[in-house]
Amino acid sequence: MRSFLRSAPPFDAISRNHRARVARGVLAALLGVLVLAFFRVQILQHRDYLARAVSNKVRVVPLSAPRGFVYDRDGEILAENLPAYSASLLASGPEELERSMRVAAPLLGLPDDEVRELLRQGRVAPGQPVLLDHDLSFDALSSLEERRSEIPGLLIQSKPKRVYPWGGETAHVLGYVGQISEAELASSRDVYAPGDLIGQAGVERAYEASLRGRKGAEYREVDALGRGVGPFGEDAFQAPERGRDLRLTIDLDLQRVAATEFPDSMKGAIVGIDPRNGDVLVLYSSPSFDPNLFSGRISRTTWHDVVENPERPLYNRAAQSRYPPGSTFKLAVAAMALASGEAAPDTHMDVPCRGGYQYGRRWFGCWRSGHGSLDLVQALIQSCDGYFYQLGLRLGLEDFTRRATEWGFADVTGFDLPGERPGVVPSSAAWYDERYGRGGWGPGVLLNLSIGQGEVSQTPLKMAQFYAALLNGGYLLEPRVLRPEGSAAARTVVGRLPLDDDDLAVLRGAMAGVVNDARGTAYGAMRRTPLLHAMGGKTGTAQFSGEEDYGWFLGYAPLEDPRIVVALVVEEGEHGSTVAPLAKRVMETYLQEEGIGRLELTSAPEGVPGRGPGGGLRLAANPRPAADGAAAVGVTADGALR
Amino acid sequence: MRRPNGSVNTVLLGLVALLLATGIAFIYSADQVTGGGRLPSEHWRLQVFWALLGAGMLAVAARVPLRILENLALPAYAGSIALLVATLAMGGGDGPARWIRFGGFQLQPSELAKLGVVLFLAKVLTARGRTLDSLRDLLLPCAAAAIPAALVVLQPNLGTAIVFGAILTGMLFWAGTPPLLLFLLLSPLVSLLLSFSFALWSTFIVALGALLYATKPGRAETVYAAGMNLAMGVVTLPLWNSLEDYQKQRILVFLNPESDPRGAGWHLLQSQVAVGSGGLTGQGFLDGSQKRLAFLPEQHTDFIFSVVAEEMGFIGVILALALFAAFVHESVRVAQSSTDPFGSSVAFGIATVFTTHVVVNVAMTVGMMPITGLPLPFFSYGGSFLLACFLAVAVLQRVWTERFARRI
Repeated sequence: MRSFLRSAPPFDAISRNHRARVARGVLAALLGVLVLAFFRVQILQHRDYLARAVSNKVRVVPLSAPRGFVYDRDGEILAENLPAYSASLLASGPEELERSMRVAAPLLGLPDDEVRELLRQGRVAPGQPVLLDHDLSFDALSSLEERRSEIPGLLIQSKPKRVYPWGGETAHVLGYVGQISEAELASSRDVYAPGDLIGQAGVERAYEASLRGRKGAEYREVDALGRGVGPFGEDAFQAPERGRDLRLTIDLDLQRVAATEFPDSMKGAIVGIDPRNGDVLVLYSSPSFDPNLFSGRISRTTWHDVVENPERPLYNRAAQSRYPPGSTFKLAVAAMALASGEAAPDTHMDVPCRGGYQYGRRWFGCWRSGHGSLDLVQALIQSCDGYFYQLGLRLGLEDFTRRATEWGFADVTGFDLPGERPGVVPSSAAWYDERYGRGGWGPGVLLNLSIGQGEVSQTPLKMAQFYAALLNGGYLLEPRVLRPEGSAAARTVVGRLPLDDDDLAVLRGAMAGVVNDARGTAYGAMRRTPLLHAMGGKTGTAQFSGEEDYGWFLGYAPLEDPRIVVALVVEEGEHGSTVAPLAKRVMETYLQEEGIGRLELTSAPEGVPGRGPGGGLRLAANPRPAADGAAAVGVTADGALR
Repeated sequence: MRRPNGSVNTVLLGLVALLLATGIAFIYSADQVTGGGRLPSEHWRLQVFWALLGAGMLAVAARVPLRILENLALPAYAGSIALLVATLAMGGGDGPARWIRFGGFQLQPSELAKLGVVLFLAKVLTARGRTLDSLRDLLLPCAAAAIPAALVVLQPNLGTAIVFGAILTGMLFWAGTPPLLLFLLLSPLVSLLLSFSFALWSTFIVALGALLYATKPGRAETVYAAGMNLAMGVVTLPLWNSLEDYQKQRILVFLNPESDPRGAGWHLLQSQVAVGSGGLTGQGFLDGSQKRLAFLPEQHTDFIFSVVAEEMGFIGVILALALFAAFVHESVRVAQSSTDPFGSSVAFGIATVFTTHVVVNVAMTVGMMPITGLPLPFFSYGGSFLLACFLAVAVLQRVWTERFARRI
């Protein structure tokens, strides 16, 4: 067996030739393997590697599109862009990002936690620029430029900054823009990239698709260090497309009046719409916020201050807050009674008001010691609870709730801004069973509903829509802030109240009386200053346990061919009549601007509304002297319920 | 191909000229960068200078008779060892200690050591009365290769150590070592590679046991094979742990380049991207974008073949490999034709060195092997290495000239 280890004669020709053959065989095998390896990489995987080579050397720099401007109905600028510079990092990988960040973060004063968050962003979306700052100060800009060579991947771009010249005065209409959230990003990765600004509320959000325009891109060839060496390809520069400009139905002057005259430090909302077409002329919610804060890189504390503020300034109270409508709902109750035939304008109730109404073993109070026996119109003008308890009972719970639901009091208005909440109203007796359990509630709920308390709550916008319908022939119109492209008269009807012209005339007459009849609940308040235009309306007081009453006022003007309906709520604003003058100011401003003729200041005082179609009301420009005293009494709360 | 019969091997020298010209063309291409913080350079001019110097040296060195070379073998070997020790002693600052500097001149002793080891092994293996029948017979040649290998590993320079191993294997083979003995000698390396998988390793051990039983080599061989293979299975992990971090990293990254695209794997990956993007016909001479934008590491030296592959494609790769194959083939032919055992041995040793460099370097560019730092003969930029290559070619030429001067 030793033969296995016997070496051959080393260097005879035959052995050399034999070994040379073996050696060449080994060489051929080695080279064969190499050729196969190259075949695999160069032929089979060529496409992959070519793609890698391209992505290696090409960086796509997104170019942001300027957002469209937003104008008010008269062409005043509400939202625009100002030139600003943004800094971002477009690194080739996480290590480079980290290296660049180490240099850049101190120059921009980025705190550690934000740096960490940005680094995380870079890892989540590689190949996308990480936005460091939207709005570089001049100092930051120059110090970045100075050390540019140490910050590979630094992009300084002119990126228009969103500016709202009227700040908080238009905040709830316009909304604001802010950096896109990861959830939003996940659902629209083809359109947005991390760090993009996106409309977060209001018009900015509702019309984001129009406003944002289309991003452009620049294809840059970069070297191994991520430094640009020039454009790549023939279409290296794709210009961004500016977003569309929008024209709103909002009137800036009204907006400013509403904002400046809204009672300081009080919460609430005012919304005004054109009853003819649903145009929202004014929408202000208090407290407001400065939307410009969100346009830049907002600091954590500022963010916290705004978002976590217990007063909830971001909340659009006109469309998102529901309040019991109180006596403003009596128009709805009266309208339902007229529509059902349960009452006529001259119907008196069986029991005259003696400061309330005895129902079974419970006493339901009226806000005033005793209205006596009133007809429907006077009951509205004087907001008599005693009358409406009985009117509600005549309708019956089933009929009441069915009609209220049919009339849309449990729906949204169809407003075009996001976040609107629907009204609340019971749909039937079963609704109560479901909520309180069978037998867990009594027939008294109907009495509460009849005066707009209890289980009914509505947004100011919803009430404005309903009142507009009373003025435009019964059409419930979709409120809108975007001015339609075509005719301004275009409108979207979402429902029609089953009221004939006579019914509507009665209701309008009653609303005129609220302001113009000396016994009207808004008479004194509206005439503290001369009434420049003929107005109507209805006060309301919503009650909450443990809080001051909330004051409501629904007003419209002028009486003939109304052009504006205003719904106003002031939280803990005591009474509707207290807050009514703000609505008056807004309506006056609008009518003046629209060139609607003023009242003759000399016309004789006359407060009693007519009862027929058209109301037949002549207007009093000045209150009767005696009314001032009366106002002190008359302008008190209505709709008390204990 | 017409075989040269004269004293000058025109095929060999012609192939060298062709390889050099191609190499310089691609060094010129590698000079054309527009990014990565590198400026366009003129390495190619310097390489031309080195080539001319090398050609002159070849003309002189090819006149040195084999007998003198044989007598110089021991001093050359000893001198190489001394230089390697000196290199280690002088240290290399932060990086590996691979260079010796005197004045403005740098010398990489490991390049000379390869030639020294080839000469010395040839002398040892062809000594009168030498047999290669047992492990004891192999002891001296193994030690002769192991000493410089150990010294370069300490630098650390794993690539050159691999070359010493290849020289030893090739020259033992050429000297007529029985295949079984050669296999038993190398079997611990197989165990080392397989030891990462216990199943594979134990299978190999069982097969080895069967082989030992069937062939019944001497006691020493049996003990060596059994002992070393078992030890390898056990020792590998501690050995792994003793590796430098960057060496481990290179091996790990080699196994999975994607794992660390910006670390050591980055270089392998970028080379692969360059090679792959070349496709069948390449992006065109001078037009390789990976090269131009400096994504390729060491593109003048270690990764010059990636430039070839990116710019000339698969076809260019085949042609370049064919040139190298022809060159090695001709070197083997020199070894084959020589009736002088020493000369034949030296020629085969040199062929082994070239083959190892080509295979290891090219395999690295395509991602088949880790980065070892072995340059590509006649292609890679670098004076020290190019001169060493010319010296080797001079020796080949001399062996060719003396091929009929049979001594035994």
